Amino acid sequence: MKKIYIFSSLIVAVIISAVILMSKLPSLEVARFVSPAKDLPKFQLQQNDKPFNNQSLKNKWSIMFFGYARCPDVCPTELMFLNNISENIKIKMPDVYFVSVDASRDTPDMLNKFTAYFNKNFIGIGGKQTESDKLSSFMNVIYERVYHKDGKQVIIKKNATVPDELKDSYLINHSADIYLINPEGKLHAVFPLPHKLDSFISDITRVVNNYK
Amino acid sequence: MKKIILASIMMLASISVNAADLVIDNPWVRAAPQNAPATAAFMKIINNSKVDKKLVKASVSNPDNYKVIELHRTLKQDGMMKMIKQEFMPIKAGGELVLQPGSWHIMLIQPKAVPKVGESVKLTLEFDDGSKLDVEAPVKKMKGKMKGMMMKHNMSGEHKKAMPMEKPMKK
Repeated sequence: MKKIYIFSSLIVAVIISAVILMSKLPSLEVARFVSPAKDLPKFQLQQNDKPFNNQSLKNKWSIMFFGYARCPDVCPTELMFLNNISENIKIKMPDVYFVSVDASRDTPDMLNKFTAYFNKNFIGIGGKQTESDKLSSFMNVIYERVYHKDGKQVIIKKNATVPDELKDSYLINHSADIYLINPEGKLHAVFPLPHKLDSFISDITRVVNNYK
Repeated sequence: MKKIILASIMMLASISVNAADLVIDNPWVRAAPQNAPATAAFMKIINNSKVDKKLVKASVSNPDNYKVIELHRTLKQDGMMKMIKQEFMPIKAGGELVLQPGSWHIMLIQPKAVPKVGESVKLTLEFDDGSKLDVEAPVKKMKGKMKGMMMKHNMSGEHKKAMPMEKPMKK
């Protein structure tokens, strides 16, 4: 009799803790929770001529993506994807920040024209490469500058000067995960590739609705 | 006489089959900002023949407008999305190759005037069997109706019958 009692209380305990856990962390289709949410490192970037820093991410949800304004395929695809999200999501669309990993070429004006083309509310973020590197390395974003020679990609080393003839044309290989920042300005969830409209919307909606 | 007629019918038939060996479906060019350094053309290439085909070259009717036209493929490698220039695009016998954002595409590099929505780009595709296909690709701003299906970056563009992925290119 005692055994049965212990056993059933154990089951109850398991169920209760499972419920608590699930209410905190809803099950997601594709996104990964960062649990507990992580403070971003201190950074100082530029949104046009305004400063963009940790304070700029407080009291609202934000989406961050890292790329470059001359990106021919991946960034346009992802920005158009995020625009699709904004058109289909039922909760308030988080602010979308497109953070440049190409400080030497991306002027604030170029970044803004680029992001606005996909959605006029999307925000291009530029500034010093050392500052964007703080954010990108914190998020585990990896990137490398490359050009094509004899049909193969050649990497331009991180601190190497880019030859003049490549300045316009070098490409950047980069990760294309999407990051969700919570209203405390902390990294809350990561959306790895591939990005699909339905699962992305269902995940982001669950995350936001289950916050606090 | 009968034989000749039959032979010519068969010849005609074989010609028409040849003509439809390669079929292009839903060609389009991605609209891009006016200062964009490149844009791209997408489509589905269907190979109805019993022979593997390769798209070896793409050109435009107004070559002066672009620095160069190249065949490219975006791939996920080492945790990064990489856009890698290709010598050709494989279209397996009886298979198809889908050119789409984040995958295979024809790069229209450094346009003097970026083609606008409402315009179209006239392309000529050349295949390894010497055949050529003219394609008129309207400029589109890929909008919501695609429902994210184009976003599967790490999917190879091929149909299940198409050629397996080539080995990742060494840097």
